[in-house]
Amino acid sequence: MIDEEPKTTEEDRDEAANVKYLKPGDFALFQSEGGGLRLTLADSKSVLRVKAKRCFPFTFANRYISLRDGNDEEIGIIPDLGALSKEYRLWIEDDLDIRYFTPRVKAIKSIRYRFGGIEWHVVTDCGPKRLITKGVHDTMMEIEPGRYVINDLDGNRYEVFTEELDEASAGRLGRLI
Amino acid sequence: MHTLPEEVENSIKAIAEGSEIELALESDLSVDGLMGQQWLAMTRDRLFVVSRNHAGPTVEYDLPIKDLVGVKAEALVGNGCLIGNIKGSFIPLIRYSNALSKEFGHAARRLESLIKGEDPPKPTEEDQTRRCPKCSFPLETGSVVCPNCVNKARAMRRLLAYVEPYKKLTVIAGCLMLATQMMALAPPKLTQILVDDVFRKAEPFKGDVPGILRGQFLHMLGIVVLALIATRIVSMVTGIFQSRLTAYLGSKMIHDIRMQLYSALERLTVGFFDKRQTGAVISRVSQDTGALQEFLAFDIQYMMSNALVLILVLAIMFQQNWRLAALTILPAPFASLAATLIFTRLRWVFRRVWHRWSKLHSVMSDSLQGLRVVKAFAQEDREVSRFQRRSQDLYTAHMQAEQTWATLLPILWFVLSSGQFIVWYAGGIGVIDFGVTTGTLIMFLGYIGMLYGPLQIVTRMWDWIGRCLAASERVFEIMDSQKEETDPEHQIAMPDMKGHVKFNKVTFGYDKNHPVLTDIELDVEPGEMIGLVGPSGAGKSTMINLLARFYAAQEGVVEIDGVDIRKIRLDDLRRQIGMVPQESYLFSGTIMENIAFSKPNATPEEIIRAAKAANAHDFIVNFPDGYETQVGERGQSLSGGERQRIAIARAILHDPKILILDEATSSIDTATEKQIQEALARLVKNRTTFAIAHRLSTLNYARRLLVLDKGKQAELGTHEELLAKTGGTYANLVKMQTELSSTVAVGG
Repeated sequence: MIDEEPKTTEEDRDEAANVKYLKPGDFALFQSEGGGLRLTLADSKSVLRVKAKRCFPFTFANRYISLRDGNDEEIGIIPDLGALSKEYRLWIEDDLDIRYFTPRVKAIKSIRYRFGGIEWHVVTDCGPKRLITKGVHDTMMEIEPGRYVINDLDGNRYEVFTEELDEASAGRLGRLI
Repeated sequence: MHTLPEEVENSIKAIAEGSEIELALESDLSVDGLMGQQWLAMTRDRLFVVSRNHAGPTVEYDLPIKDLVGVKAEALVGNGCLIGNIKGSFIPLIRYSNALSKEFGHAARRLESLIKGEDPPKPTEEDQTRRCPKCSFPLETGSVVCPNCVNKARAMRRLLAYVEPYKKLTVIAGCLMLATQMMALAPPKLTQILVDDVFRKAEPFKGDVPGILRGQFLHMLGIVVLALIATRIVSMVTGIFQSRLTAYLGSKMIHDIRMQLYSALERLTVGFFDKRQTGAVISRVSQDTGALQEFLAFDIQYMMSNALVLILVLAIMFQQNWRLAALTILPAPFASLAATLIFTRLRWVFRRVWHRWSKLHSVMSDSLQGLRVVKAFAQEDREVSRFQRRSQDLYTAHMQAEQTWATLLPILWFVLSSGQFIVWYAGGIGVIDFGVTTGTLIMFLGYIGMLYGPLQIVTRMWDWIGRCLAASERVFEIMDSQKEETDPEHQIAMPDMKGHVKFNKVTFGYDKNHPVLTDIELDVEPGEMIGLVGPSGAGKSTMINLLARFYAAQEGVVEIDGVDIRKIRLDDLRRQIGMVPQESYLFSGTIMENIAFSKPNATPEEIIRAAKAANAHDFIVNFPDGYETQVGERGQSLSGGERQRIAIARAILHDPKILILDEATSSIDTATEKQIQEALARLVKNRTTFAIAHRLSTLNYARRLLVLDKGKQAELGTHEELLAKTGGTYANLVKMQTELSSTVAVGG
């Protein structure tokens, strides 16, 4: 139905499958007054709204950072934030900190079963919090032994490292899982 | 709208030049991303973000709304952020945890409308995070029942209404229960008579009872033993009748509830099911009604009979010897407390076992279901070690649970039986010093054995009632949910539609904050076929949902023959709309029943004619059971192409004026495809047809094509017109599909 040269489509296809890694010299980054990020690529293409997303949020928090534009199209991946200048690194880390809000649980004050869920009173590195989860099985994700992510009913998430907990807190968690 | 703290409000008013605060929201995160507070406030022309520290409030942002190009509530991971576009610069204005995402979503929409100079949208229930106003526990989606704060009296009254038709039988069951329990209480009293009036009096004679007295004793002994047997028999018989009657009553009542619930479910709007997983609804029907059945059929009688025993035993004991009775029940509060603590502990350990079981179960089902993949990638050892870890966890939890059980249960029994020692000791003193008879002491020992069990039950009764009432509230909630308007008087009868369909500036979103369709304008002549084209998520299925009136447009109108679809009598509408869904759902039953689903009284001739037109007749006849072939649950014994043709036959028999065709995406061989295309061509003839087509061959039949992109109308025209548009969405889609089919052809 369509007369196109197959070569071009093949090239397009291969191009779409290519991962574009960004090296430090490939782009210039700017931070607006309120903290928003802008970017200009080496070929002078400018992106007004830049979002940073982690490809591996748990295992490689500071590596494989996908930079995306306002339409969520990928601009490229930064293999390692450590390779960037301190200024760029901090700006991107700021953006990541806002995007990935995962308070770390430092102490568990109580865990109580109630109808329809479990009520937790915890102390996180961002302050104390009462959270409610539905059951255990679907709400506690084990990232690796001793490391869990709790997803509460609102869609917030909290990270727990059992070795960081005091004995009483670890005991309370242990009774649950 | 939240209330602002006074000092925050004052700080805004000081710079807002007297303007009214129209919207105020409190965030639960502070500026530095810690748990804390910040406030967003809006006047007619300005936007403020205020934080507060020990020194007082600080205005973080004071923005004239006219400077804003746009505002978006962006969903991030574990939180959200209101992002303002200020003259092309994107600024994160305020962060909030996901608990507040709906409120801030509404605020963003409101700001957007102010920026565009439109009327601000009114907040609806969907814009609020739904929490229990009493305990702030989040409520289930679509539910207003907080299981922790359920109105027990109201739920109980409504539940008891189901007893009403069986009042007489319930009273009889109650009387039988009373009789059973009274009989059960007789043996200790009879034992007392036997000991005090026979054995004690016979004992001093040391086996040499004089003749007349011996006769009296034997007579008495015979009467008491007969009475013991009689009470047992009466108790057994009344018990059997009472249990049978209660089982009947409980089952019958729950049948009534289940029927009412299921009829309600069938009449609910499609939206109800969208907000919930079908599995969750099914489990609600089965688990909650199951819980109610258990309660109505067994728990109620169990609790009532135990409560009755408790009252009767206490009454008898106090009547016989109040001092001894008081001493006997002294340990009761401690025993109850100990039992509650022990059962709480046991619940925790067994819950943990259950949790670890389910983890082990998922590992097992994962790797067994994907066994071929595991073997193909030679990952058996890894799977075994994954299983070993879970099994080890389960083993530890299980062992601890069993050990806890083994330790705590004997302790509990000891505590529960501690009343016995008091009876022995205090009762013994009574016998020695205060003339209490041996028979009375033995009777007390008999009653105390009956006391602690019911006491346990009664202390846990409120827990059971609470559970049952929460289940009943959830069941009632479905019964009370929004039903489809079936036939209100003011609806317009349209028994014979022409099939002229018009979408008039229609906007709709399942979640108001995210419209899926925006400003759709489309006029379809009777008998015209419109192809709906677009990438997945473009809004094609949503258009169809609006046409079938599964949902109502939030803005604009869908009209049939010039009448707003919402005003058409639902029966008339559904009778004249036919649907061939993407997944051809076949119900359990025969092929014949499935084809005749839309017209249960169809004759065999009509069914065969429809199947023939759908190109299904030949394969059906080739089955050993022909049209009477059982298709089983979801029709899994048929191929995709066969299922599809049966669905087409069903639609042909239904003979609708307006046809909705959601083409299956699954690939089928060319011969089947040709057969289906023929069947479809026959089906769409002379019907207004909306076709979501994935194959270009189907689109060829369409007179015009509507191309949707991200919920907006991208293009409208004939196949040729759209193809001629270089760089057009449709032209690109065709290009992609042609490439794909050439790849498939080359590859395989």
